[in-house]
Amino acid sequence: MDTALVPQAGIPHKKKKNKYRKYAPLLIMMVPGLLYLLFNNYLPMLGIAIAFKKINFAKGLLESDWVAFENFKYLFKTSDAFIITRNTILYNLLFIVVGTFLSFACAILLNEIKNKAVLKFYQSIITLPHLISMVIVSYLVYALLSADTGFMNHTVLPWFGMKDGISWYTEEKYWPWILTLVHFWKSVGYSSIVFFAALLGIDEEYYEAARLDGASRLQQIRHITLPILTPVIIMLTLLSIGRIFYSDFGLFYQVPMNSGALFNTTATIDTYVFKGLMGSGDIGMSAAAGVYQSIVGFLLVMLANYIVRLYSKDSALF
Amino acid sequence: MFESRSEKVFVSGITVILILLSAIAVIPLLSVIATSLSSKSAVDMNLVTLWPKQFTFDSWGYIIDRPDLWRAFFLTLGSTVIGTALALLMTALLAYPLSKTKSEFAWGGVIMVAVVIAMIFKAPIVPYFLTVRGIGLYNNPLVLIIPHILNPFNLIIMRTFFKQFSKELEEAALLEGCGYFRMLFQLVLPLSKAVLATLALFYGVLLWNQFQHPLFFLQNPDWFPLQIKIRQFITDDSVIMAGSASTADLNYNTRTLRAATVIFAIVPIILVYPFLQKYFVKGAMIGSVKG
Repeated sequence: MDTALVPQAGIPHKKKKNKYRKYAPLLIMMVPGLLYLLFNNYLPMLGIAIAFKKINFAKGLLESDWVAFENFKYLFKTSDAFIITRNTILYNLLFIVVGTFLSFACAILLNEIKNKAVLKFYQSIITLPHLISMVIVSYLVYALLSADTGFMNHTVLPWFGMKDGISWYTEEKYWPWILTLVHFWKSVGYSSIVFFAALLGIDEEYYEAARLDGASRLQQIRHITLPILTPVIIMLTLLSIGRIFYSDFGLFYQVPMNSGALFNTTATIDTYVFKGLMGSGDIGMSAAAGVYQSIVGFLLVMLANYIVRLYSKDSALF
Repeated sequence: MFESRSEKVFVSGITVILILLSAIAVIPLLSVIATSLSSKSAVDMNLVTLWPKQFTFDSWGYIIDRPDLWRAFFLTLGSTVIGTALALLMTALLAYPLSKTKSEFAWGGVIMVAVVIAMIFKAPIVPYFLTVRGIGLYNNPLVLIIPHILNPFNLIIMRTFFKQFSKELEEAALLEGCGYFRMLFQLVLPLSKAVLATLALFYGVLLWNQFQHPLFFLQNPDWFPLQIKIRQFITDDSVIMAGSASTADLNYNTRTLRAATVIFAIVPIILVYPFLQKYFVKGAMIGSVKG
């Protein structure tokens, strides 16, 4: 180690001064980025204090009275805290488990395509939804589900003999399905590319050896591809478990069109906090919910990362 | 080379599934395109599925004539281009010193910890809102750019990429009297086109599609970016029909107009997508190897 210092080793008395002179340009280089992180990421952390205050905009935030854990007490007394936590966690679990399976399967299919041009075509098409904004996705869903003009009600349901149609935007029981399908429509193509990138790293010789031994394509997948990719799958899964307290704001806020009737099955911590902030909820409780999310979320990332480190140091986030 | 029959079945099975998946990905968009090119009466009678009926450009003519839509479009285009360039610069300036080994830059480790904490401890939304407002970005169009120009995840991707440069080359350059700034801009960045393109894609998509920040921070409709504008068009009949004279003899209605608006917002993405598609795969590869 310390190879970089070797040229200076001959003049030890100058070493320390040299070090600062040498670091100066690197430090100057970092000034904009560090200032940015300070304002954008660190300063808001101080604001956590407001969750422990009775927020009074007339008095100003600094002068608002301290109420210790009152906001948290109110939050956890309501059924809201349970509903938003349950929804956030259950949706995430569903997305992680089924999503990993679908993306992995999709990556394996792509890996079997040996023609470069054809492969590129499929890749382009299936990653396209990833680029489309949630605003537009919410419109696509609306075009499908709108009560009087939606494709489901005027075309699909009559095929099955249902003339009345369904009022999708007021029936909460359908939304776990709808949101899950929308999420997969948007994300599976792109996340399969991540797995596909890992598949590309597998040495072709394994497959050749297996073919010589007469292994079928399915056997090759079962005995070569799966075992080699297991660590990647475990790692990605653990890392997404670390983010289980966060939800995709766009998906849960925009796709249900902000319909109050769907609260039970579409509200997550993020949409709840947002509504509090925008004045359609209690700002004290939503500040408390935000802090609750940040702290539990932080602990979960640390825990997930710790487990990943036990398994393989190189794959850990930090 | 011999292919057994089961092999052929396997390959054609895969092709069928992939074609099906591709169809699922594009059919919703095709149906929207068809709606935007159909007449009001065809849409009202629910005749349109994947192909335009009673073909007309009237909805498009109306959409193209909306100055507020173009304003939002150019505002978003400008903030995406400027924001992406600025983001790449900010990210590179911070990632480069952090990519140095311990012997070269002893303080890098400590600063890296600060960056990682910023990444994993997401500040709660309410204090974040108050901070951004405190800095003076509330109702300020700069809020379309500033919050997005340094992302710790992207920073780590770039740092990982910089780390693989040969140390010998840089040391030689240092001994020749080449400073770190020149080294970054004349040696390292020109060799980093792959990671720059990938991150430009990540930042660019984020900036183009941004919705949450402008929703929080912008009140003045003059500064609404494209996604907010589209959201208004989709949810508010009075906004989308604002420019039409009478409703009697028009060849469009809110449904065809909405479809046209949505395609209007996707077209730029579709146009640049073919050039950027390969960087998705590259980005996935770089991103899956953490440093």
